[in-house]
Amino acid sequence: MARPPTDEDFADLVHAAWPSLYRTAYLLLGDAAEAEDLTQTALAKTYASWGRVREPAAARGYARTVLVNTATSWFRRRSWRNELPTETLPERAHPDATNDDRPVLLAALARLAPRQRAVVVLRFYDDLSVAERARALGVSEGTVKSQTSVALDRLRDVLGDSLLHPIDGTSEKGV
Amino acid sequence: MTEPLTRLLHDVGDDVTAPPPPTSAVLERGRHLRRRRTAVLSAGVSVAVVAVLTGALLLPGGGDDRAVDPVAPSGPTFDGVTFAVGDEVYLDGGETVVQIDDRAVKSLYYSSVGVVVRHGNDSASDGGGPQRFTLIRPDGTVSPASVETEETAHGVDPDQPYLAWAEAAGGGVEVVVHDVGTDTEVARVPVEGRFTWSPPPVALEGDTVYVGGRPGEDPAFLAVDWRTGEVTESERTGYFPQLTGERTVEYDREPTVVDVTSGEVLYTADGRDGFLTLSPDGRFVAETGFDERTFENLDATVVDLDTGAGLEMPGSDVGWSEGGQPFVVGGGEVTVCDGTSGDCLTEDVDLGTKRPQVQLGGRTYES
Repeated sequence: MARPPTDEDFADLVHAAWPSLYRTAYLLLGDAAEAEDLTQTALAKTYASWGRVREPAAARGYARTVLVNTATSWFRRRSWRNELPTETLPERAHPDATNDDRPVLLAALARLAPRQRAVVVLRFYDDLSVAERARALGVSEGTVKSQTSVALDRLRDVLGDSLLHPIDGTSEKGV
Repeated sequence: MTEPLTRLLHDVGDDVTAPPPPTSAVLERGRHLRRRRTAVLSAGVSVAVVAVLTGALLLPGGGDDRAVDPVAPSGPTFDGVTFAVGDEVYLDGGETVVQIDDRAVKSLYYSSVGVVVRHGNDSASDGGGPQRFTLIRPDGTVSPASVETEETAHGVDPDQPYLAWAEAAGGGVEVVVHDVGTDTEVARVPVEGRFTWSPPPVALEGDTVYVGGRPGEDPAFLAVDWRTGEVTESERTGYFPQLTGERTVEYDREPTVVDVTSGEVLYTADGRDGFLTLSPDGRFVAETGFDERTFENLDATVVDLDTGAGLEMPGSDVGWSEGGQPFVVGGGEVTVCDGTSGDCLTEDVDLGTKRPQVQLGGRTYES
């Protein structure tokens, strides 16, 4: 890199990365205010390391990794709820997913333990591989696979088999 | 995108209306975070720069030929302050917590590619069972290493991505060097000889793995060039082939810090009960002892071996940050100090349990 990244470079990063980071944060946390706080925190941490960024183009991935790691830390340090108290289970989704199923999906995600929610969001929304999720979450690839399998079983209870077909724990991508 | 769950998650995620990016707020928080890392607090911290009263410091070569660069940035920072409680590794003073996929952390080494975590069934080194390894990279990502050892002491050079150790083999040992960045074994060198420990502890510095010690042999250590396979005798001295910036601790009449090249004694502890621990780069030594009446550990004194400046730490168990600064963890706080200026930073840290077993970065925890 010819010159160290500037504050203007960082502002460009914030504008470009904010929407997708926020959406990942929202799916991870299920709360708009928490998602905004998490995204701000992740980008602020990225800025604190900005002087060490060698390639600004890679900073977006760095920020996403920081976001996931920060969320994982929050889950542990904030006595994060393992799952939302659910007095009324959401209605099972229709076999053919429609926009009407979105609240059902959010409710189903909210019923997962934080790490299970993370492996699902990072796999099916951010399209991270098993190895990438293992690194991001600080667990082994075996743990990622097992947590994904458990999470999908729980989602299947709510969303139904057809919505998850052909996904199952054994069809987990390895790359 | 053909999978229903993928499609549904994208529908939900893409339907979320992201608020406008608060660029100014992010920049402000980022600057605050950067300032917090570098701010110097001295008031209210039970740390003070003190004259070296408990030890006798001998400055090498008149004491001014290795003076600290006056323009070098100084001041304590939580960057690189690493410690572990159970299976959780606290990075940068606790700013980020990473969980290791094992029961307990045994020790934390600094390498050029991140923190190398030695872990296993419990936090013990002796009799602690299998030792497994995980790399935590600077961005917080985690890579388990395909290495498992037992009852051996390892060597890591902070400037390299390698983990070295010895394995018993035939009438001698094999020295193994593993690149934890790529998780590949890069060298395995047979070394003949009898050693006090089987397998013997090693230390890594550059292309050399030091292996020791050999009972009744002088010199006690061997130097193994792991790139060429050449094995030679080493003039290195010491109880343990600990490498800390060409300095080592010897326990003869009393504990001393010795320059291994010149043999010069740089620091002598106050009495036989003092215990010396060198920082990974050898710039500082921490001296600890205990009160003979109460049998309680005394707060440690950290001495800058180049300048003679010393400071009392607010605790007896001293760890070292990646940058070589001393820190202590206890009472719900982590305190890191600049070993030269004596300035310190303290902040609260939630360790989750009342009396946690804390493993500090930069310590080998080998006996």
